Parts: sequence; structure tokens; C-alpha cells
Amino acid sequence: MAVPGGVVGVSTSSRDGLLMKVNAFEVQWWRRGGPSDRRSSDRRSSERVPIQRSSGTLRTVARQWRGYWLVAALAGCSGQLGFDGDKQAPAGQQEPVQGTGGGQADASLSDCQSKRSYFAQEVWAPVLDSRCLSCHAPDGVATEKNAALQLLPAEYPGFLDANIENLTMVAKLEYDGRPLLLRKPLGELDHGGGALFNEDSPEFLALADFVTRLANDDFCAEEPAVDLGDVVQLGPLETFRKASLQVARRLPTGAETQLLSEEGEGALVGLIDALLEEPAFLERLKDIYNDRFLTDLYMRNATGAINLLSSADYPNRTGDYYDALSAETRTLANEGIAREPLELIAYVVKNDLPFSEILTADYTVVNPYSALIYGVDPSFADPTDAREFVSVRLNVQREGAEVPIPHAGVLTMPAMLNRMPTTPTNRNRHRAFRVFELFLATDILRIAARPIDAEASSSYNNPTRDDPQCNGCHRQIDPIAGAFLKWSERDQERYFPAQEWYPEMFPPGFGQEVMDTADYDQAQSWLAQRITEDSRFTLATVHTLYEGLTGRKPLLYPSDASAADFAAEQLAWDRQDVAFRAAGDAFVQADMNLKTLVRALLLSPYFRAANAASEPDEVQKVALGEVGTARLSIPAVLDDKITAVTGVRWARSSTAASYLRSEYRVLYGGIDSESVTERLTTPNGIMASLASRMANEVACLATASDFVRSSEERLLFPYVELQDLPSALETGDVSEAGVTAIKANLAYLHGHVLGEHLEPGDPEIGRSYQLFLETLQEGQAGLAAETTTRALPRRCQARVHPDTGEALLAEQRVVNDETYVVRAWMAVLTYLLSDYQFLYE
Amino acid sequence: MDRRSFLRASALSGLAFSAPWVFPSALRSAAAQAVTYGGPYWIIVHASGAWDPLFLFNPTENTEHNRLYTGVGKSGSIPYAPYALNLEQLQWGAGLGIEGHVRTPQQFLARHGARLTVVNGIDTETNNHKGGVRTMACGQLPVGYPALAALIAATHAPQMPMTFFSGGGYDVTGGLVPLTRVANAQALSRIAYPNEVSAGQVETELYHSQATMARIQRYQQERVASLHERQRLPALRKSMEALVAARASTAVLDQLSLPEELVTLAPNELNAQEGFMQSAQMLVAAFGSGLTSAGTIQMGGFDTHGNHDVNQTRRIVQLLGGLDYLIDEVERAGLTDKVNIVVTSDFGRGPHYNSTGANGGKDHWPVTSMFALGPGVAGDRCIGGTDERELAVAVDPTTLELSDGGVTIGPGEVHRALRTLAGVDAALDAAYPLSAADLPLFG
Repeated sequence: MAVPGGVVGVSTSSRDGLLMKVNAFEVQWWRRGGPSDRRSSDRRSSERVPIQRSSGTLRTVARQWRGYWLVAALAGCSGQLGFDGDKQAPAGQQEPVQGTGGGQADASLSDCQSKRSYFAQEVWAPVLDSRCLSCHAPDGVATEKNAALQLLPAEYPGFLDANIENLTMVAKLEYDGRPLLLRKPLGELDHGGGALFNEDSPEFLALADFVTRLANDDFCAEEPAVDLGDVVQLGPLETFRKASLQVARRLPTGAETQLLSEEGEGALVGLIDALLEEPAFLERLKDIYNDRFLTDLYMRNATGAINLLSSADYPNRTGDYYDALSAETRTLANEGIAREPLELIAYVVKNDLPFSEILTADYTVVNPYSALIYGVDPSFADPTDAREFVSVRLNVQREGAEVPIPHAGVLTMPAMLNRMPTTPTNRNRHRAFRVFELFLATDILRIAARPIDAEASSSYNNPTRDDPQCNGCHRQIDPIAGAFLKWSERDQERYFPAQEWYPEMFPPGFGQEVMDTADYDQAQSWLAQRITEDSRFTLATVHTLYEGLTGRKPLLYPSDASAADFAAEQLAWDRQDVAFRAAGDAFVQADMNLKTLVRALLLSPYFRAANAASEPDEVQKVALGEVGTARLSIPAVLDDKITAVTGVRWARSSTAASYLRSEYRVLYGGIDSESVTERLTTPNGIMASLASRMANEVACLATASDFVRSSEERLLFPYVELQDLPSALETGDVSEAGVTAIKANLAYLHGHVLGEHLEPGDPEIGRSYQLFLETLQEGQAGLAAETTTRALPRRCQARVHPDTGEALLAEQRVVNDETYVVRAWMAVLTYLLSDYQFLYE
Repeated sequence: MDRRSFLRASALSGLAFSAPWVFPSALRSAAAQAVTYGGPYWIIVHASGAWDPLFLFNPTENTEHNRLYTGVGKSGSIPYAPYALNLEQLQWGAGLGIEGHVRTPQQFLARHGARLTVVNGIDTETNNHKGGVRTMACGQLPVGYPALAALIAATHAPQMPMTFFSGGGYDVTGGLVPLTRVANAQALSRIAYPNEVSAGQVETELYHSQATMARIQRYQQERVASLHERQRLPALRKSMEALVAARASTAVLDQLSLPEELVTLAPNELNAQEGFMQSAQMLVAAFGSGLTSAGTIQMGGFDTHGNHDVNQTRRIVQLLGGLDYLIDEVERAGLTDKVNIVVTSDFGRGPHYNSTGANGGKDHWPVTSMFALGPGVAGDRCIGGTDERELAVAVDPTTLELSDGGVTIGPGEVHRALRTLAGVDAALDAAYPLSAADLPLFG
């Protein structure tokens, strides 16, 4: 794995010139010399705390280590991504699926822990992070002096693996037959940091133990399964419903439901794969990536993206040619240019190309209309279809000559370059920050977020290069900034092949690799190649999809090792990290086919967790804090869901944009890609009231209208007619048939609207029935007393056919509500459409 | 949230439905039985991108640090950068009415200096935008703390439907209160009355009778309580609690009264100020409705690495013009004795120009200023300062006079003082501790 600047390879000499010998076998001394024995003694005196699991197995969750409590991630040594298939519900059984938990009755920390897990819990948190990192970090004094031990703090993605790699190397370095790693912290061999601890300290024992284990490779195999204890997952039907609403904007079809009912989990993967072939998935994917790129900003007016382009580069964007284009053509061209980065993503995924092509593609994509503005003439299957995008290579005009654009996927697109702008003094550093953020899973400003001393900084002429407070980050930022050297710093999307880089800055490159000047003409392609080969690109892709599908940000590694919840938070992070790495591995093994990654995430417990079989203890409450998506639907997904469930598009009129995609989008927590760029995940009073209005309006529009359809065609009321009442109007006698039909339809509605499959006798059906019955009784009393009108509110009347829009004959209309039954059903539908399970996923 | 609290919160959302089928709007107020919030209110204004304090209230005559003006102005006890509005120098056209909207430091102090405390020489210890924004909004550099506005909202009015109203800037809530963003005032009118077919009309049909609506809500509460009781995953339980709390807060939403027309400024040059003023209008109206306790407003464009003297000055005079409007709007709403305004930026700039050319910019500098005014803030006061190198000078912790052996003011000191002034709940204060000195910065 490539790691950011600061990590070096094996060194055979130190700054003080001591010659060291690398001999793994000589660390055997430490096995005899006591640390192992002391460790054994420690372990004997430690205490295991078993908890009862629903399956009846016991699992050790914590142990005391000299007063320091550690939660052990006691995963089993075998398993698969997600949950063990053998422990899931058998085919056809639609019970929620319970996780394996991965633990074993007598699993012990020493018997069964991977190197990574052991390092994270025994070495990193209690020793290296707390005692060594301040000097051995990339900007630390030890690193400045080329110490062999170079550590990355937890803000760096992949920090654990990089640090294990470094420590494994350093552990082999010896002086006088003893590992330097165990002598320096004792203050020996001129350790710059002096004596940090003594030989009896827990820190020393942990280091010694790790060195011994490294020498003997005394670790379990890496645990690839996600251990989530007794978390209960959604069954295949519920999972597929959630997935289809989330990525395909629809409900499962009858055939899909039947297949899942018959074959259960076995049918799920195939059906999800089929979902990912639907065009709606690509639309959802574009929305997910727009949350990161924010390029839809340029869709807010009809020429926002066209105006970005230089008329010198693209003469068709102005003058007579442009003036002759219709307003519709300009709008569609604008859409093509604004969405070019998102459309490249869709193009790559649709064609099952490696996802790395979003950066490495030596082409761009155009629709028939943006092609006009760019002055290219590729072949389209339908030259009038603005949704058709094809690959092309572009040239710009320079003094009568055509200069080819050195395409590097989205990195060289006008919308993208303008959405991560720079200035002559910023010198592409903002672009580098965005590259780190979008494609390397790294918040470089978070890494840089530590106190600086203004006075010290003022003594350097070139602080970004020379001041240790600054150059730790600038050593990483500036080389990537340099890869944009050929792009204008004033007119963001203009390409100038003769432009040079600043000699006083770090040269273009990536990490520690310096770009050859011969590569400057293709600098972004050079950069893209290295980014996509870096494991952080995979992680960034996993993070983007995870957040897009679950609404949750990836966990940060806990920063305060002294915090009471540290161990539990570390466990939560570790579980998520295991899941992300497994999903990332599957993605890479599938030649970076993004659908593989989406499928893995949709099948993961982070998407499917529905409940826990037993009440979690305090540790598990923290450790399970991010499990179960419980996501408030984003406006677009809720909008699609409303239409899929009720057949009603919630909008001011049939021609207007739907409310949740226009005037209510930001109010309901969405983004505008300009000033509001972060989604709200917790509802406020405005959002709650908005959801209430939606439920009222949609129930009004959908209820009477659905009864116009034949019972076979109805979406909401297939099991009842308007004549079905719980009791006869004239006599008040209970109608068993009426009650049965009503309850059957209520059970159907709970399944159709909320995705919960209940028997008619379920208490939830009973509650819905009471709402129906009491509303009916209230209304009928009002009708009898003539205090209530027979006419439905005009907006709720069915006067046209809901599917054809044709006016209905008088006898087909539902205008009056003589028995109040329509309004009783409206009340039920409002109740369900504003329910927690409808608003959340 | 335990079951009892959960049910109590649930019950709150079922208030206030007893009016007839056709519901005259005049009766709405009577239907709102829940109590709205009466203050104090807080506005946190952020100048995004890092302003230059030398162009505000920490002036210098050092020509290497300032090429814009000469001399040092003083209004009462507060020094200021004494530049006049020069449209030509700012490359703004004449005859557009710009001078009627923007304010120089001198003009701003002449109107509001008597209520203002300025704190200069704040060492943010960062020149990283994200870190600077965060530390000036919550008092510490590391991630994880909620914004001051969230602490205030959680202390004073957590039950209000729009208690934390974000107009941009650092608005991390830490899960203490929900966040509200409003981009379209007109759209709100329909939302405030969810059961009215024609919201805002004098008489309107209802979708459901009042009794039916109350019944729906009662069964909703029962159902979500039942789901909550059966749910064991913390994230799912919290999400149910959040929905219940949000629903409970809607009982007073019909008190919302927002401006029908948002202010506009004709000159396109003042677009940043126009956006600021519109946010100010909305926020003050939300205060006036009693539904909001704290809010943020942001103006961007201060990151002047190039052409500093023109671009920084343009932004500062717009910021001060926007603040002038905000203060007047507060007064028009009759809230002058209840609204506190805090104004910050990421960090400072300079101190040197980054080029000898006329278009030289100023880069990031960790030392900055902030200012505040409001009912608890002492007026005509300037605390702290910088030396000839624009490094922060420490202050005596008692007298607040400049003192080499004293305390260097940092964001932690500023926020400790602000938390005290705002009466932030002790438990919240303890949950997000600041390791900084207690200084009586605001009187």
C-alpha cells in the first residue's frame, strides 16, 4: 500500500551511525527473558467477563490489563463478509436474520487474534499513540531526524496497516542482539525522547510481546467477517424492498416478491444484481456523487455550465452559432456540461468498466447537445436524446490550432475544475484538498488541525516548505496541487500546455514520488494512475457509497484513549473497518466494478440491521451505535417512495416539479449544491410538519382516486370496496364480512406502505382498525347530526381517472362520501404515510 | 430517553386540535396552547475565509502590513482602520447607491460602538480554514464539539421547532438539538398549517376534522412508543426519539411569521451583503415568532490571497453594512434588549503582503479579532491587542490590560466568556470542557 509521505523502508543505519543487524531469530531472547512470562502472569491474573448471548454461547467482551480495560474484538477465525450464510434464515422463510456474532464460547484473546486486531488494541492505543506518536508522526522531531520508526496518526486512512508495516520492519532492527524497538523507549542508545517507560511497565510488556509474536508470526489469520453480536437483520423480502426503493426508485414487483418468498436469501443476490442494471440506479448513483462533487450547482440556471467555458476555447458557446440554438437545446447542452462528471461515473458503471476510469479515462462524455457546444460530432444512437452520453476526446482552439485536452476523467472537466477552484496565490492547493477528500478518503485539513506557533512560523521565508509546522502537510498537498500545473488559476477550466510550476514549492508528484518533468504534459493522468492504485481510492469509494446508501458518515478512529468509551468506540470502528475492507477487497477483486461494491454494502449489516435479539449492555450500546441505518429518507428517495406506494406525485400541479425536488428540498434537509451542501439527518419541527402535510395531501389525493380503479389495479385498497363497512348503517349490526375485508386491507396497507408483513390479528392492525373505526363513527355521527358535510374536500374528490387523466363519468366519480368511509380510509393512509417506518428506512 | 420521557414528549405533539371542520385562521393562535420562547436570543455571525483585523478594529500604521490607510482612528475607546469609502479604489461603479448600504469601520462604530466589545489579539493557533472556523465557533481546535449556538439552543429552548436556525457557517449540533435551514420563506407558510387545504387563507377546508387529526396523532404516538419499546439498537431508538421530539415541537409552529418579501439590493456588487441581510431578516423574524433561540449567519469572500486591499475592503464594508441592517432589524422587532450578536472569522491575515505588486494579497495568519454586542455585553470596550509583528499580546487576567506575563487570549478564553454570558447549562458546559482561563471579556 502506498502511504503518504513520511514512511520509509527498512533502514540499516541510524542517525548516530550504529550498525544494526536484522535477525528475526535473535528476538527469541525476549521470549525467554521474561516479557512473555510476565505476560502470561498478567493474563492469568486478568479477568474475563462473559455475557449471555441469545444463542446460548458465551463471549468474552472485556478483560482487565493492569487496571486498563480493553474490549476484545473476539471474532471467530473464519467467516465471510456480512454474516455466515449457514446462520441465515432458510430459503422461503421470511424471518429476520440473526447475525452469527462470530464469537466462540471459549475464544480467548491470546488464542485467536489477528495481527491487526492485536496491534490496534494492545500496541497502538496504549503505547504508540499515547507515548511515541508526538515525536514519530510525519511532522514530529524524530521523523525530521529520519528515525526508522515513523508513525501515521489515526487521521490518516489506512494508518493501522501502514504502522504495522513500519513496526514490523523496525522490530527487526537490533543493536547488540537486542531489538532497538525495545531499547530506545528505555532511554538507551541515545533515544531522542529519553526514557519513556521501564521494563516492568505495561507499555514495555506490550511492545515486547508484539515483537515476540512478530518473530514467531504468532497471530490468527485476518478475520474477514463483521462481528455484530446478536444483531437481527432484515429478511430477504424486507432487504430487497429497502434496496429497491433506495437504488431503483420502485417497490418490488409481484414476481420478485414471490421469488423471494420461495427462495429467500438465495434469490436476494441475483435480484439485487438485477436492480443495479436498471437505469434508475444510475440516477441514484449520480445523486450520491453529486453530494460529493456538488456540480449540480451549474444546473440551477439554464446556462450556468456553458458560461464556465471560454469562447476562445470553444467558439460555439457564443456568437451566431450559439444565438441560433433554441432555448431547449441550450438547456440540454448546459445539463450535459454541468453533469459531465456525474455522467462519466454513470457511463463507467453502466458499461461495467473499472471504476478507476472516473479518474484515468482519456476521454470525456457528451450528450448530443453538449457535443454542439464543444464542437465535436460523435455518433449517437438517438441524436435527440439528451440522456445518451458517448465518449469523445476534446480539443481547444489556440491561435487557430487545435490543442488536445489531456483528459484525466473528472479531473479535467470544466464543471469539476470550477467546483474546486483555485487562485494565483492558492496555487491549486484547494484542488489538492478536494482530491484528498474525494478520492483518497483523507481530510487533509483534519490532519493539519493542530496548534501552530505564529512566532516560530514568521522566522521562515518560505514556511510551507521550510517550517516544520507547515511542511508536514504541504509536503503532501503541494505535489498534488502541482499536478494541476497546466490549468489556469484565473479561468479555472482553461488548459495552457506551456504553463510551468513554481520552483519554490514542492514539485508535482504523489506522496514521496516526484513526477518526472517529462510527464508534466500528462500530469493529471500520471496523478490519476497513482491515486487509483492507492488503497485509499478504494476506501474513498467505499466511504462515498456507504454514506450515500446509509446516510451515515464513516466512523472516525476514537481520538481520546483515556475516554471512558474509548474501547467500545474502538470496537465499533474496528467492526466498521473490517466491513469496509472486505467490501473494498470484493470491489478490487471484481476489477473495480462498482456494482459489486454496492451489492456488498446493500447486503451488509450496516444496511440490513433491524434490531438486536437482546438488550445490549453499555459497551455494546456504544459499539453498535452506528449499526442499523435508521435513516431519515432524503427528499428524492422519499419523493420516489411516495409515488411508488400511492401512485401520486406530490406536486403543486401535474406539470410542476415535485415539492420534494424543488421548493421543499432544502426545507426537508436536502442540499442545493451551493450554500447548503450537507444533508440534515435529524428532523426538526419544520421537517416534521412538512411530513405531516405530505401525508395529509397525498392521502387526500390518493384515497378516492384509488377506488376509481378496478380492485385488481388498485395500489392501496385491493381488498375493500366503499360499501365495506364494519356494521350496517341502518341497523348497526356488525358485518363480519365487512370487518374481515377491512382488516385484510389494513394488513395489506401495512405491508405495502410500511413494508411490515403482519397478520390481521396483529396488535398493529388492531390499532389501525381502531383509527378507522373511530374516525368512521365520528363522521357518521356528524353526518347524522348534519354538522358534517357529505362532500369530500374538493381537492380529495376523484373526478378524473388517476392513470389516464380522462374525466370520469358522473357515476364513476367519487365526490361525496355518504358513509364517511373515504375519510376513514384517508385517516388511515395519513397515519401510515407519516409513520416512522415510512419516513425512515 | 427513557420510556417516561419518551411518552411525555410524545404527548406534547398531540396538543391543540379542537376547532371545527372549517377552521378560521383567526382561531389559530387560540389553538396554539404551547408556549413560545421569549429570549434571550443569540446570533453568531461568521466572516468566512479569514478577515484582516487590521482593516477593522485593530489598525496599524506599519506600511508593510497595511497599504490601505494612514493613521489610526479611534471612536470612544475602540480603535479602527480609518479608511473612507472610495468607490473608485474599490473598483465599484458610482451612482449605484452602494454607499447607502455599506459601512466603513468608522461609520459602524459611530452607530454601534457604544454597545460594542472588541477583542483583539486572539491566537487561534491555526491557519487552516476548517480548523479556524471550528475553533472560533466552538472554542477548541480538535473536532467533536458542537457550535456555541447549539449549546445555547439546547440550554434555553430545545423544544422549539426551529431552535437552531442555520444561515451557514459552523453549525455542528452534536446531536443536542435539530438544525433548521430555511431557503424559501414562502414555502414555509403551507408547512406551518399541515391540515389546512388552503394554508394561509382566512377560511379553509381541512383535510381531516380536528378530532380525526388528534386521533391520528394519538395513534401515531402509541405506535412509535411501541416500536421504541421493542427496538434495542441504539441508532434506531435515537431516530425514533428524534422524530417524536420534532413532532412535539410543531405544536407552536403556527406562530411562525416570516417576512413576505425579502430585502433586495439593486447593485449586483452587493450580492454578498444582500444574502446576509435576507438571512438576518429571516432569523430575526424567527426570533420574533418565538420559535428560535440561536442562529448563524455567514458571509463569504474574505480569503483574499490576491488583491487584498480591494477585495478585503469590499467584503468588510459589506459585512459591516449587513450588521448595521441586522441591528436595525432587531430594533424594529423590539428585541434590542434580548438579542446578542457575536461576530468572528476563521483567523487573521498577513501580516505581510504576499507580493510587492499593487495586487498583492495576504495569506493566512493565526491571530485574529472578534466583537460582540447585546444586552449582557459591555459597550465601548476594546480588549487585547497585537505587537509590531501582529503577534498576540497577553492580558492581565483581572484587569484585562495588556501584560507580558498574562494570559494569551485564545478561542477557549473567548468561548468560556461567551458560555458564561449565555448561561450555558452547567451539564453541557461540563460535557464539552474548555481548558482555558476565565476572563471577563464581555464585562
